[in-house]
Amino acid sequence: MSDSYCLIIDAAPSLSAADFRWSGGIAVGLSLLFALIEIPTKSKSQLRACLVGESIFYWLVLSFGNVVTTLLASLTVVKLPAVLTPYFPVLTAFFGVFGFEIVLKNTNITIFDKGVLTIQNWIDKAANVAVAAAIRKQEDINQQEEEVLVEELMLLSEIEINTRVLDKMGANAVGELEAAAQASSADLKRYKIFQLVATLDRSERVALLRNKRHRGSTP
Amino acid sequence: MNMDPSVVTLLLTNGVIKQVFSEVLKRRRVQLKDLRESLVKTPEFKPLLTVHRNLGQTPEEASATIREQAAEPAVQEQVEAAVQKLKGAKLIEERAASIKDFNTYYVTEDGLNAERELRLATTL
Repeated sequence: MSDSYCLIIDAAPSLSAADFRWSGGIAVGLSLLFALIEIPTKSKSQLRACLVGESIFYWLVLSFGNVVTTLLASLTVVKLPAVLTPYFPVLTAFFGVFGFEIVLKNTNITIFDKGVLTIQNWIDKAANVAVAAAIRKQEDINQQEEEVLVEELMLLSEIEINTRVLDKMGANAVGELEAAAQASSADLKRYKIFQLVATLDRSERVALLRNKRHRGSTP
Repeated sequence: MNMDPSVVTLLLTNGVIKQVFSEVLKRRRVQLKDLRESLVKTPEFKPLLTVHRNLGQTPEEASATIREQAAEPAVQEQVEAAVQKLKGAKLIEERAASIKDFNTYYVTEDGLNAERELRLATTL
């Protein structure tokens, strides 16, 4: 009885240094995945607009938090049945990363008994920096695209523009847009084109930009 | 770390500015004409309107009325004054287009932090 008890203790699983490295690596990878989902979602921007230095900083801050909580989670994971030992690195990272919010929301950094900032605040602020940078970058991308699209559409005749406005915006749109442009002393054709570009969906924009590139490459 | 008290006052005491900021915040980026068209549907802008929507309007007629309301001088004036105030407080930034109606306003890092702090403040 006593022997078998000792055998169980000896066989109790624990994370090796290699398992810790795996867990840390998985936590960093999951942090990257989170950042790649969170920043485009919060900034309502394309993924390419989110590939900025600020996003890397956010990923690093998030990874640091996730690696720390992964190490903490390992203390619990080793108590799971021994049959799960091969999966401990994955489970540790999983519990660490998904338990991250719960752990950090309840962790305060205090100096001389005064709360400075919760770690969650730091991460939220890093996220805001990354989101704001992505929004700005998306604006730059949009501006460049719109300039190209407006110049592309300016090549068309006024009749062609009116037809596209009619098709896209309905029967009274041409008259209304012309009246609005006149009220603002704006260029009628350009005003209609700006309006048209604003209503184009992603696939239509891509098609127009492709046409422009195709024409540019044709001698 | 904490928000400028004048920004807090600006957002908490002026309904029109608060509504304009909420709209930019919600969409992240918005053109001036779209901003006006969204705002005329809110209660804050109702007193400014001279053109009113009818219940029996078709969707096309309703859209035309909204465009007409958005073009009213009082609405234009209020929205432009609000975006200038928000720009001054660095909560939003402007990307100018060659036609003013197509200027884009987008939220800044300060704007996102302000939203977070005000949200935290209101949940306390």
